[in-house]
Amino acid sequence: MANKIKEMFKVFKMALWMNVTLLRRYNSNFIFWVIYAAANAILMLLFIPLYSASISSIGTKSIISFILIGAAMLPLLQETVSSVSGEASFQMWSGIINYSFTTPVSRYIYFSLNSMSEVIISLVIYSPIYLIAIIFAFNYLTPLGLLLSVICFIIGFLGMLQLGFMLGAAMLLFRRVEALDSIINLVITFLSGAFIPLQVLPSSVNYAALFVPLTSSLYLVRYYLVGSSLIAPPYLMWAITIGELIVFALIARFIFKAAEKKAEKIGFNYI
Amino acid sequence: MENVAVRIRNLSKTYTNGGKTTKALKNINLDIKEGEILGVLGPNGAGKTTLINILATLLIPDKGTINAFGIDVLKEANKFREIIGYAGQDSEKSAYYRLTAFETLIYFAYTFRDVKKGDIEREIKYISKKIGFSRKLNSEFSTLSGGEKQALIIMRVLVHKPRLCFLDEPSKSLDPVTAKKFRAFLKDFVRKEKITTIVTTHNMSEAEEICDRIVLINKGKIKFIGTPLEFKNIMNYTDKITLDTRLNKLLIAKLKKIPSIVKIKKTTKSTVIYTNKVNLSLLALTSILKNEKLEPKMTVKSATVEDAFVKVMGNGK
Ligand SMILES: Nc1ncnc2c1ncn2[C@@H]1O[C@H](COP(=O)(O)OP(=O)(O)OP(=O)(O)O)[C@@H](O)[C@H]1O
Ligand SMILES: [Mg+2]
Repeated sequence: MANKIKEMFKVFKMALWMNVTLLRRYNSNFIFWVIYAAANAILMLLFIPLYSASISSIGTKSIISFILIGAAMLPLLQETVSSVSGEASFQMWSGIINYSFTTPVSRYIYFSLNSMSEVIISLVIYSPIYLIAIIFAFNYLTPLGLLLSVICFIIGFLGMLQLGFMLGAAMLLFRRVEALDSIINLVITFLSGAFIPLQVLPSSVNYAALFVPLTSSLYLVRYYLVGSSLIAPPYLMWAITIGELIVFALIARFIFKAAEKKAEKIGFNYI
Repeated sequence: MENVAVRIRNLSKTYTNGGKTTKALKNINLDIKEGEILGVLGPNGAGKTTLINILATLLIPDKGTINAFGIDVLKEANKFREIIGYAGQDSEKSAYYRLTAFETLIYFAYTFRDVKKGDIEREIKYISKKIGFSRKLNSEFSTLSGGEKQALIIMRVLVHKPRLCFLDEPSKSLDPVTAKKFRAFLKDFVRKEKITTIVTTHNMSEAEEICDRIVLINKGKIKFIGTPLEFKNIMNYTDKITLDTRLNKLLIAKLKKIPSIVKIKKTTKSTVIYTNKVNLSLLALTSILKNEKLEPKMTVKSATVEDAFVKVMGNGK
């Protein structure tokens, strides 16, 4: 166990080292990402009038914070899902997955931590938006509320990662699953509540949307930060958020195992 | 040298892909000795890569057992992975494109192996100097040539000094000069570090130069195991003397009486004389030709591993 943790730490540290090294060498891309993140936030703020119209059902104390949280989380999720599946296809195409198969480091740990380190950089890019959201919510904020919102944000982020791993593992198993990536993106865009506030939609849609990862954590983040309304009591929302994280992690692990099994029969080059 | 490092018993592998089955390995039995360099040879599709990939824990065989240094490889794969190094046949792309060669080696060594920072940097510098790679260490992987990428992938295996290393066609895209340097280095290095090495190649002279023993595989079966010398001795001649003329029957009959000549073959424009004592044969041959006032052009070629290869494979069909 201690060894596994040491191994995870080492793999993550090296992956982060690589990503930071490359980021520093090719920093223009980083700047473009920052611009993209800012554009996301600004464009979503254009919808303030729309949100204001239904402020009673959203029940938020700051429309700006409410919007910015969505603006920080939605693209972060989209990038997580596609960069993890991108990592999977790169490892497969380059043969790195074969090399890692012959080393004592667990392939799943390698694959997931490597993807995670990539996504951490996106997290860095989007966190200023989250910070601005906190600033706008400052007047209503309690320390406990801030803490809980941060925790929900992290759990939500981990859930997104699992979704990414699921897609990445599916890519190893089925080779081409780009369409799945698009389906996930579509569903997330409309049903996470990041872009369109779910509070204004019928409650049946809301219940369905709870099956979309990120929805419940996003609800909670906004609830603790700006007091916007929830669809279910907080404890249920927590249970759903954490439950989804676990279920997605298990599914991802399961698909990855199946891919490994298949690879051992005919080789990763051929699956 | 004589301890068995890897014991392979009754190993078989069948691929089933898209409803088609291919028997890639059929009941392979093989002992790999500790510290030796074992060459695996055979035509395309013989099963060399399949064998290497099974040994490197990438593939699971249908049946058979592999025991290496007391480890049951098929059951305790992860323990075994700690002591092996692997460079596959198609691994020349298997690195991150934007890292430099040096960064690549550091990254893979730290991430996957238990190594110390100082040691690994020293090792990288030492090996790159030996194979003439030093000036490329700071180049991005994407800018390396095919052969340079290949060299880097081999270095990745050697820097952490595995006890057992598997190299699938390591010299495939190396130019002759680099390949020569690489062979000399490889032989030296694995000897010094006591790394048991299994290497596949299509290059017979390479096998002859670096391998302690060679295994010949054809259609999934072992056709020969032994030293390169023993392999060459499969041939009943040591040299071939080629005359650029067709000798007449009478002369041929005369030549056939010389004890050191084992066989004579006539082609459309030449006569080939197979001998197991080239000096004696040449003496006798020149005196006979002189008597006949014949002065054909003569070329002498030693029997090569290639010739033995063709012979063994020919029998296998
Ligand atoms: N994943 C696979 N699915 C189906 N058949 C395969 C697969 N991998 C290899 N084969 C077949 O198994 C046989 C052995 O292949 P292998 O790659 O081991 O040959 P090899 O000796 O390494 O050849 P080469 O010298 O060309 O590298 C070949 O007939 C090949 O077509
Ligand atoms: Mg091969």
